[in-house]
Amino acid sequence: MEVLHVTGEQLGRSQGEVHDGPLTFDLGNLLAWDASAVDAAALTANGTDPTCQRLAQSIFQSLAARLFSLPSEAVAVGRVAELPRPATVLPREKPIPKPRPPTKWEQFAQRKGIEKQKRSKVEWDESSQEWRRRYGYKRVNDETEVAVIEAKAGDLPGEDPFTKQRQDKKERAKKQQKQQLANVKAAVKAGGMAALPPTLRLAAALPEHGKGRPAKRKELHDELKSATKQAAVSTASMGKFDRMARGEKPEDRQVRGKQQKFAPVADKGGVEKQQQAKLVDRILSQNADDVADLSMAITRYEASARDERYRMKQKGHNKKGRVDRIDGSGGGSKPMGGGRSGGNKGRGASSSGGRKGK
Amino acid sequence: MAKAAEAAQTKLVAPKTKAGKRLMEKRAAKLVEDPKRALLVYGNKTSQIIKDAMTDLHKLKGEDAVKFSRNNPEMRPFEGGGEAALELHCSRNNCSLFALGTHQKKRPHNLLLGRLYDFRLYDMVEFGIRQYKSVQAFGGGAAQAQLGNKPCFVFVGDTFESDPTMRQVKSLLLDYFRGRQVDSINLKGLDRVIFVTQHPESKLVLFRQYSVRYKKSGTRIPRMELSEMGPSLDLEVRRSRQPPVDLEKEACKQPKLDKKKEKNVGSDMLDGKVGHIYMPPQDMDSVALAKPKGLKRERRKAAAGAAVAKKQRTSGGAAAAAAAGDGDSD
Repeated sequence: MEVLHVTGEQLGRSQGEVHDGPLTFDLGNLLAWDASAVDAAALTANGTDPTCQRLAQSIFQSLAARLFSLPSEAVAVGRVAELPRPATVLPREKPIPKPRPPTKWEQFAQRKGIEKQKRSKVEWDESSQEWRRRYGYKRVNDETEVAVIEAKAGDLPGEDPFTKQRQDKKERAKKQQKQQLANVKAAVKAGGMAALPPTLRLAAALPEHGKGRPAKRKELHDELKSATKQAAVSTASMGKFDRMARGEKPEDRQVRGKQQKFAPVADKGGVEKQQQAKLVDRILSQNADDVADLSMAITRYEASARDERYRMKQKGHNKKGRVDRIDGSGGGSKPMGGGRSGGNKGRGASSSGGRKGK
Repeated sequence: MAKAAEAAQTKLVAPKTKAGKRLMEKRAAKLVEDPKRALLVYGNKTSQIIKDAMTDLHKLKGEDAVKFSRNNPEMRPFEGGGEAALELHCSRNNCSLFALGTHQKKRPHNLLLGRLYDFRLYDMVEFGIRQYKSVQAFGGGAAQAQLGNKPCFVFVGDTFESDPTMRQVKSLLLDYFRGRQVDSINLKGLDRVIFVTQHPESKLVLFRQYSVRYKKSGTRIPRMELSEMGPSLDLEVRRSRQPPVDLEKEACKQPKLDKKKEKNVGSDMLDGKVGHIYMPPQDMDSVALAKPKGLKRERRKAAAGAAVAKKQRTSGGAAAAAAAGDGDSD
């Protein structure tokens, strides 16, 4: 009998061409890298895009071959391959989280060997004959649900036990918050801000109402001192003519800060004359026509020219170099009275430059 | 009032709503991180090419990208304090990658890609787009690739190892398009290939993306057929900034993810699971014993007596010393 040989090509199947050359793989990142130099001639000869496509195809074929040979298991949606750890080290976006240091109770429990006991969520309530939760709404043995609280031997006649219950609960909650704050502060002290739980932050706070008094003796002493100093200067004459208390020094009464000094009425030493002369010189030099400083003059000229060019560029100009709009400023400008041209902005540069220069 | 009156008090600020708490936990630092989110912004002025390129980048990133629509002239990361605005917006949106698109006469079609570590500027590379073809220009090739799948990367060229800037470019592009870190992938989901190389003469970075079609081959491994899907970018590398050395060291620290080997656990054929119990040295004198309640009164009296005796000793000693001193002076 004749045997018919059928090749893969005849059936329309062909294996992909495998890339030759050294390839470095990072399967964790699905990366293949050809470390050999790129052939410039090939790129220009056949065109950049087709060459890139052919290269990509062959290299990807090798990469896919590697990926398909990884240990995999068949799943309903396809075949899942187990990837190795990525080889390329890329920078993280956030610091590595640090484990929270143990709280005061956790340290004690560790020392004593106390283990956490798992408790059930519900408990049997005898009075209502049903399963109730351990804490929260409609809990087992809710002490606030009772209608009558019997008086004990040690109770005082004026006390209300229901109020006392509420106050005790508030105090317990406050104590718990204080302990939690202390634990968090200790954690931050030990491990820095990274040891904080992600949902919590530490913020500066004002002291409680009425509790702002400093506890330390030195701070109290300083506070009293500064208060007395402030009080001593709080009179109409700023404490200048008031009697000094025992232990008070004249330096304490001196006014802090800058004070305006007035010149004497009679001009001693010609100080006032000097000041006036200086002022007059400055005014004259600003408005003088003869230029003493050449570099300053050049700068002023260039600045004014630059302003003019910018103004022309912004507003557009016709062939004769005239600006169409009268006012150089943008929209919403106020209407100028009496034919005042917008050229003042450009031409006024010399005076403004002078002010800047001074 | 005195400055000592306001004592340094701290309070604990916790989220007020459950939704707020969940959001903060989602944004917390993790051992294995979520995919990096990108913030795409425009600079002072933009061109149509930049706008199209940013739109494509935004679409490629899918859910992990935030694109601002307005121009932001104050974002100038290469200047001294100019990265503050960028860092602020990135930290607000939980983004660790950014793309800043600008267009100036000096730097036309400028695309600045960068990363942040702990919401501080880490590194960035500035590209100029010389040639650009968008995803739409390639027709429907993109429809075959599914968003959310991890792309495969193909890098060609020795410059990615020798040149530090090109090494940075490789690392940046990998970080940008990598997606989620996974332990396993579905082989059916390999449908995108990103190809990057550097032209040896013009030094342009050629970025191409292809979608994959599987064809029958005689073996288990199918034959791959690539068709270009876009975007196609020819990038000119302009300025760049390497990460500061201390930040680089800290950022590249990898956490230990291996499961801790249980110590002191063995198994015996007869006994089963065995381990050694190591007893710490016990000081018999200071062992905490249960105190008998019957002797409580005696113990209390003894403690009070001891306290009184101690006081007498110290005060008596001081008085004796004072007396001795006076005697000496006399």
